[in-house]
Order: sequence, then C-alpha cells, then structure tokens
Amino acid sequence: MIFAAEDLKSDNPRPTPLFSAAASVSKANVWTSVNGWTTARLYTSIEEEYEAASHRVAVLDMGAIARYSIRGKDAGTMLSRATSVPASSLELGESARGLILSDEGEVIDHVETTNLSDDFFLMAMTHPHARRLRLAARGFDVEVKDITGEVAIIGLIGPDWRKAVSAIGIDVKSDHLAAQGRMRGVEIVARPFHLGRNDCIELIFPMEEALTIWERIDRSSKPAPIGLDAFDLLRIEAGVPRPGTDFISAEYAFSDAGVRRPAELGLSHLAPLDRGWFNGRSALKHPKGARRRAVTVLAIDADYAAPGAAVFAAGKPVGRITSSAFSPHLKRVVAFADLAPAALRKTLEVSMVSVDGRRLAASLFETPERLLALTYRENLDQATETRR
Amino acid sequence: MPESKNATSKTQSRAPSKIEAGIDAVVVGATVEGLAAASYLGKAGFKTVLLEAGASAGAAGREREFAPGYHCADGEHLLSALDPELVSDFDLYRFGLSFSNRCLDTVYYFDDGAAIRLDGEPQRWKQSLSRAGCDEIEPFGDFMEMVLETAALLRSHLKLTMGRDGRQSKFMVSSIFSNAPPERVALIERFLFGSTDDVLDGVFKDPRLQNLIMAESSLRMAAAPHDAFSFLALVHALSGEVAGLQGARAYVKGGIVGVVDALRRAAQAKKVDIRAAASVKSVIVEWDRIAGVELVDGTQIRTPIVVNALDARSAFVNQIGFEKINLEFQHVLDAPTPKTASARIHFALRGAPADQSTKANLSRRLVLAPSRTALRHAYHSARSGKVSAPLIIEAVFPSAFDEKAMAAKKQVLSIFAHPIPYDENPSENMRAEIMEAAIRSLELIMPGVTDRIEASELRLPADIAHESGVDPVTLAARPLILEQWARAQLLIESSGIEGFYFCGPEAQIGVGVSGAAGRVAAKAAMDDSKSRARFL
Repeated sequence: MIFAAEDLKSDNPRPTPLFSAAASVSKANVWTSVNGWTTARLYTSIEEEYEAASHRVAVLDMGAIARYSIRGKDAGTMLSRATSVPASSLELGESARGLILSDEGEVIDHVETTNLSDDFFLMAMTHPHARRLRLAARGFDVEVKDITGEVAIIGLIGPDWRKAVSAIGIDVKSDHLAAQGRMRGVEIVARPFHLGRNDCIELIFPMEEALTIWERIDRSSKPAPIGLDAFDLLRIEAGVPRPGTDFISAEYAFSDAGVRRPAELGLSHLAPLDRGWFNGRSALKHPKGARRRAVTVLAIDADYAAPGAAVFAAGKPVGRITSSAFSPHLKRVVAFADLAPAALRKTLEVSMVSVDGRRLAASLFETPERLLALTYRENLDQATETRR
Repeated sequence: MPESKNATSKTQSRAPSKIEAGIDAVVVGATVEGLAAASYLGKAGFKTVLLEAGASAGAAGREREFAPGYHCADGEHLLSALDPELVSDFDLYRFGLSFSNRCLDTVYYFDDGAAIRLDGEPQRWKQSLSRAGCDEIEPFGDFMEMVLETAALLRSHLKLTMGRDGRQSKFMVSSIFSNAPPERVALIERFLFGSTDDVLDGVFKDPRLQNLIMAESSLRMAAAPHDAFSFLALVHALSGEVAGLQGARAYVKGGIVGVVDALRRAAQAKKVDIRAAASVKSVIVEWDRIAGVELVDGTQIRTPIVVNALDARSAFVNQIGFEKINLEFQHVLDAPTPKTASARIHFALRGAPADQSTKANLSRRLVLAPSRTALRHAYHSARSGKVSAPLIIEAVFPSAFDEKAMAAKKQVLSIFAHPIPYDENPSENMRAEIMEAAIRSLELIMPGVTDRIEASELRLPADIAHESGVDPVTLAARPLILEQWARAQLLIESSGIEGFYFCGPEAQIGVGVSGAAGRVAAKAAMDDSKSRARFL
C-alpha cells in the first residue's frame, strides 16, 4: 500500500495514534500532512532509512493510509463489485491488491483488501473514499466503517521483519496470509504485503495500544524509522504510480487530462477483465479510443531528482517526469514519467542537464510491477492464441 | 462467496417455473415509448416480446367513468410533440392515428377578465393579434419569430443520442452559436440561459402578452418565470412537432389512448408479441450483461436485449438493483425531491358553461395566464407547501371532440392547474385547498362554472402513482430543460449494463410524450447488436 501525496494546504493536520512515538525518534523533525494526518517525511536521512528497509528492517507509521472495515454477509460480493479485487474468492487471511475504477474505467485509487473472516474484510486505500463506499454498499447486506484513526498501523519493511513481529508474540507462518494474535488482551492483525522486491508486514491494532507496541518492537529489534521520502523511493522502484502525483484520480478530475486507465499506468494486471464483474469493467471492455499515454518508470543518469522535467524522444518533447527520487542503491535517479506511448520505443532524454550542458539520457526501468504487467500480458496473449 | 452469486439475487430464491428462450429482445412497459421501441425492434426482424403489467397496452390512460355517465382518461390530453420519424416510419395513420383537431387555437384569459385568442400555429400568432386589436403586434411578432427560429436551431441539439455514437455526445452550446446568424447570438444566449422575466424585460409593454408568455413557459415546469434558464422551456415546447406543425397542440381522437392504440397495432403488424398482465419482477443481469427478465409468476425469459420504458427507479433500482449498476450512475438515480407539481382535475358539467365566450371556445385550448406577481406568489406558495390562487390553468373539453357526449349534453372539462405543492401523501385539507384554488382560477376563465359542476375528480401525482405503481417523482413538475436533457442523456447511456436500454419518462425532454426516446433506445439496441454480430 502506498501513501497519498502531501496535502500541502491542510493547515492543521491531526496526529496519528503513533505520532508521539514517531516524534520521539525523529532527528530531522520534518513533517507533513497526508490525508489530514501528520506524517513524518524524514527521520534521519533518506539513505539511512532506505538502507534499513532494503537490508534490515524499517518501521513506518502507516496511520495516514485510509482504512475501512466491511462487515456483513455480502462483504466479499460488495468488494468484488466496487473494486477490482476478487474479494469473494480470497482465502481466509489472504490479501489482494486491486484498483478502484470510475464508471468510465479510469483509475480512482489503489486498494488492498484482506479477508479476515467470511463476513469481515479490511480495506486500505491511498485516499479516503467513504462516500463511494456508501454508494457501493447500497443493495448489499454490509456495514462500512471508516476506521482510519481508530486503529494504529505499524509497517515493518525489510527482510528482518519476522524478528520484530515475534517481539509482540505473533506467529506469522505465511508470507501471504494474515495472522491474528493477542497482546495485553488486545487483538492484533499482522498482514504481510509486498512493495516491489521488499517484503513488508503491517500490524493493525486499537489505537490505545499504539505506544506500547511501538516500544516493544523498538526494544526488540531496533528498527530504523522510515519517512515518506524514503518510502516514496521504494514506491518508485517498485513501479507503483501514485494518484495525485503520477496521474489524476478520476474521482477528483475536472477533465480527461491526467486521468488514466489501468493499461496506461501499466496496471492492467490489477484490473483483469476475467476477474469477475467490477465497477468500470464494461468501460474497459469497450475503451473509448486508443491508449493515450504511458506512465512508466525511467532510470536517469543523474544525481538529483527533478520532478516536472520534460522528456524528449528524437529531440521532440514526449512527456514529463511526474515524480522522482535518487536511488542510493542504483546511484541514479528513478522517476515516473507520463509519456506518449510511441516514445517507449525510442531513445529518451530528459531536460535535466549534465555539467557539460547536454540533456541526460534516460532508459526504461524494469520494476516488479512492470514485470507483473508483462507476465499478465503474455498470459493474455497466449490465451487469445489458444482460442484461435 | 462463489462467483455464481453475481447473478441477480432476486432470481435465486427459487427455480424458475418456466424458462423461455429464443427471444431477441424484451421491452418492459407498453407506454408510448415502449410500444415505439418494440415496433422498431420488430420491424428490424428481432423476435420481440413486449411485457405490460396492466390488463392491456396503455391501460393506465384508458377511458374510465369518473362520475355516473361521465368519462375521462388520464395522461396527456393534448399532444405538443409526436416524433415525426416514428409517425412516418410506421405510417401510424394507417394504424388508426387520427386527430380530432391537429392544431388547437388557444384562448388566453387574464386576471382582469380580458382574453386573447391565438392561432394554433405559433407562426400565425402575429395575425391573430391583429385580429384581437392588440397594440404591440410588431414587437410581439418579431419576438415570436426569433423564438421560433431559436427553437428550430435547438431542435437538433436537444435530441437524445445513444449507442456507440451517442456515447460521445455533448450539449455543445458553442455549436448552436456557430450555426446562428451573428446578430442573433446575444439574443439566443438570453433565450438559453435567461429567466423568462429577463427575456421579456423591455420587449413589449402589454402585461397581457408578457403574462401569456410566462404562463406558456411555466406550465407544468418546476422553474418559475424568475428562475434562470426558465425561458428555455418555451423555446423547447415550440421546437416540438405534431401532425406536421411546429409548436402546435393537437387533440388525438380517443386522447392519448388513440396514440397507444395506433402504436399497438403497428407493433402487432411487426409481429411483436404483446403480453398483458405480465409483470416483471426483475431483470436478470449476469456479470455486466443482460441475460433476461423474470416475471412475477416465476417465468424467465432469456434475452440479450431489454428495453425498459418504466420510470428510472422501477427500471434500475427495483428491477436491477443498486448492486448491479455503476457506482457514479447511482447519483443520477438520486434525483432531489421535487417541490412543485401540477394537478389534473376532471369536471363533470351539466351542459356547457353558460357564458358565451366559453360556449364559443369549447373546442379550443383555454389557458388562464395569471399576472407576474400572482404567478410569482403561486410558485413561492407551492414551494413552501401552500396553495394560492390564481394558478395557471390549461383547460380542454374532451367531450367537445366526442359526438356522443355532445348529444347527451354532458360536458367533461379536463384541466391542469399549476403550480401546486408536490406531496407524496397529500392530506384531505391539501386536496380541498388545491380544488378550491383551481375552481377559483377556473372561474376567471368561465364565470359561473361552479354552478354547473356535478362531480369532479382531483388527480394528484400521488394518486396516479398509487394506482399505476410509477415513481410519483416522474409525475411532478418537470425540471429545467437543460437539467432534463443532461439527466436523460446519462440515464440512457451510462448504466454500464450491456444490452440494457432505457426509454422511461425521465428519458423524455419536456412535457408530454413523443415516442422519440423509444425510437432512440431501439435503434441503439439494433446498432449494438449489429456491431456485436460483426465482432463475433
């Protein structure tokens, strides 16, 4: 799951349940507002935080991500309808990623759903969508509740997350299935997830226990706290485009400009047309016009990030950088770019300039998300070939 | 939960008692629109079944005895638009469509007792005024000429479009302007966006002329003359065509049932299987595609095309269910509760009213046009749940077109009184107040009529809705024309269910029926079917 873009106009963001714990370990003391919740951008340095997430374990306050609980006998059906997640067919404890699409098949948001019991699901989304979920619940026997702020969520990112989780007495047996446990009489849900190549887990529990659990994890495995800037780098490397930054969410768009369909974002595998019947599916089946844009990740031979920079192919502008970050691991900038699809086959340059005044070269970067999309595409092509 | 539960839950309670297959299209609701759609589908060679919940096609508008010896029919008493394409495609005259009067003159009455008679053809209003000895013949004539020109320009822009081409449709104001003569652009802009009050400001001084225009633009509309965009209602009304005449009002032989009967015969001639007393319980949707309909008796009719002519709430919410329709589309179904409505009243009269004026105008359309202040007051009252008089009255004598009634000297007077408060459960008090206000207004048209009333029947939206099962909101005063157009366009093209086509009352723009929505829905179904066949 990823964070929404900063809402810079929010003048009085609320503290998340883990705010005081996070504040106590912040050396950089750089904060921002995400969905109206105070969130740390930086604790120490991007390099240190990224290093911890890649090789050890980093701890993240995920309180700014919108959360909903869906209860009722139709919970799975309703979620399968409102999102592209096949919630009805999830195993107990299983999670799946998907998209929320508009009636026109344009992407509104990312969504991740976990099946905790036959009639109880948890949902996480980049932005809050209470109004939309209320609409989606009509005609179903379900109760939708916004639990953002009522629960504390600790994210643990990195290969050593198991050690940290064992400190609170939860035995997570599977890398894919959520586990539930109790500590001090309080129920905790531990839900594994993946962000690109990074294995992660999130611990969800009542906000009253926020500080106790943070402290236990801190004492047992000393995870480095990770802020939004380092997390954003992981997001770009993973190839997950962010609504509000890399594309405009169809929920908030005033025009078609900036609004993207799953295929344009390289996320067709998250809204496959054979995955039941979800909102926007029929529009995807009969798309209006050809693919308009391609939002993809580029690697740029630069040592500084430059969102907004123009991208050129054969000397002509073909798009722009939408978000970027310097990767200490790659020693290059990784960036999301919104491009004309034809440009993907050409040599790319970015309007950022080198010391000798030349435009910098950029190349397509193979992200885990792109690989998933390619695999999905190959399977689809094979299936089509077999039908013929 | 297994995927099979994606099939409509309403169909799962028990096994169907009978499954009928091999049907190309099902049309739900034998209204004018439903019959039009079925006729087109039948003509195109689709094996079509038309399902009607009532005892016969158009049963809701059939003639009935409302007082001993006096008959009336619900539904429209006059036609201001009947889709010319529909009439010519089926040559409805061959199937019995006939007009008692294809162009009714209108007599406008005013608070001060004066009256002006205008010709049934708006193009001849100027000549009518000269006969009436009005002072402002030229300005009125020029004004009406411009209104009619704008109406002709608008006609192509306010058409409903559907199907693969229609999904790109937009109401492009700029294209109207680009087709208009440059010197008229500012005026057209006023006609499109202005209130009736603003448009009339300074055009002519005679308050009677102003009042009659205000009455025509407000009759059965939710927008008062001082509301923005309200003038467009008149422009739209004058853009309609009936019996080959633009802006005219016609009386069909047999009332609206005359149109229904002609269409029914046309549909039968095209081998449409019309089934009465066949109430649809639910529309079967499998994934995002139509699979058929289930009737109340448990019979399932499997078909890839369903055209629904019922109101939007019945069609989408009751028969399909929220869980099957696109999320944003649900907003379209959540129309705000209306505040105003019109009352339909039938009066049984002991002979024609005594005054000479009424006697001379029995086979004309009679309209009471209240003053600007009175009309504003009536709207304010209606919106706050009260009734005030005078109201706008549109009156006709159906019996004047019926030779039997004339012979028996029994007169039936049918009126629309507008505006009144919209109420889904009107109290007896409210009913009495409405009746009193209507009779007080009627007295201004035909003094002494009260003494001739033998019986009366007040038909409010709630009454008709209660009997016919339609959503009462569709019987309330019509919203602004642009609002109607936008909503209709969304309703017919955005449900997200493949094979489902809507042509209910919300798919029609303006007051009355025309059959155009049924034609548009059927043509979209035929186009989609053709392109699917090409793809396969």
